[in-house]
Amino acid sequence: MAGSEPEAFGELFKRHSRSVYAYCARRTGNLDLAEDLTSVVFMEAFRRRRKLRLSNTSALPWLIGMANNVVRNADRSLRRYRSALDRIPVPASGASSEEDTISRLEAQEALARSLKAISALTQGEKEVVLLVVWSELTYSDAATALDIPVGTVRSRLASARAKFKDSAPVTSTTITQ
Amino acid sequence: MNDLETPPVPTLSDFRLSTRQEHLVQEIAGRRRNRRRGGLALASGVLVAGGVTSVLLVLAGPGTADAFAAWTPSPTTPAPGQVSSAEAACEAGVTASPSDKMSPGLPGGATQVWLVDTRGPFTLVLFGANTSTTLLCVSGPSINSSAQANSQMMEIGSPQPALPEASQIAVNRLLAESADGQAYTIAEGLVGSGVTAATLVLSDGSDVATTTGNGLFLAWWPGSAVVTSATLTTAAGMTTQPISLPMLGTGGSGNSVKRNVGTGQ
Repeated sequence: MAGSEPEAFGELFKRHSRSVYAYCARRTGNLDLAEDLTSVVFMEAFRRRRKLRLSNTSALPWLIGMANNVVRNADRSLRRYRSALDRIPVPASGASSEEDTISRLEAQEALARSLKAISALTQGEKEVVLLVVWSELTYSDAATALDIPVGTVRSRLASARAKFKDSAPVTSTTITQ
Repeated sequence: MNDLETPPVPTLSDFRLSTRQEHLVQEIAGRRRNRRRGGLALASGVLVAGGVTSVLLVLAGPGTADAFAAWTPSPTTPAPGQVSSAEAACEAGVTASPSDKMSPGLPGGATQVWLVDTRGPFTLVLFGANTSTTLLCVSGPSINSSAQANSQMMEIGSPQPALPEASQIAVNRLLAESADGQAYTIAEGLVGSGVTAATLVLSDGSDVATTTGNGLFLAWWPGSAVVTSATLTTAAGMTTQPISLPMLGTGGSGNSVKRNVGTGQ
């Protein structure tokens, strides 16, 4: 019967947390840290909920933009919500098997390689690549997430593409919109 | 530096996600509880929808400053017997009212409970919506009137609002009341079929989560702030709907003032 705001945010988390988590993981290269940052993103989103902006009726671009800021200021973000994060129960059934552990280590190594590959890009170019290429946001949604004009998204991506002109994925349809 | 392929990320398990989701809801609810504690006084009202007859039942109390201290911005689970006691108080209040605006006893067709909103010890009951008579009754501790302990009432009339679109709500009525100088406001309206949750954003910047059911919503809050927008949850995510209230009026009886019968959206 009751539809409360906390519950609504719970639903929002259920809907978009995996996308936010994947973004945080690709930004940081650290899966455990990404998990905590995902929680921080949604707590911060609640704090700033009156500034919620929708793109094509979806809150995801706004949340990814929030994640971008949270990751950029990860130390401060984690400090701010440390006590809240400390209250997260340790998942009893989340004990990792050896196979899971190896899988996570391999994934983190792959993430580290990818982050190294884009390390020569400017911060703005990296953010656009992360949003448009790695997170598959549209130009418009990336512009919403970064609070910049669509034209800037295009120009930054073109700049990144120029640096990766020999790379097929950059010129793939994924980023040619 | 020639590989921009998307690096794979292991998917979080459902268990880990649900743990985080539960934690998020608890943290948010805890933060809101800590932020929203304040004292206010309460009354109650009976409101008629249906477009023909309206009854406003107001439960006005002695009005201590902390009479609304137990009010919550989000609905709470009712205590055992809370709802049935509120219903009884409302019916007794309607029957006992000396006001010439009152129908004798519960108006016909208004005996079915359509929606109940509980916030701490306070209960808001909507009887018989979509019939010719609708009764809206708020009750709570320390609320009394000349007609009946824990109840007071009046009748109002209001046009039936248009049904909202599936992803929107329509504010049917916004009733500004006062009891012993303490203001409070009731909002009642319709919910589109695609809306699963609705939170009202008020003119003072605060927000109040509504109770929804049977295509209706209910909420009330201490003070005289009006609704400026609503945060809605639908299958597509969360949206914000501006709310305009073009019709603001005043009226009332006893120590309750019906200031506003408005329509929204």
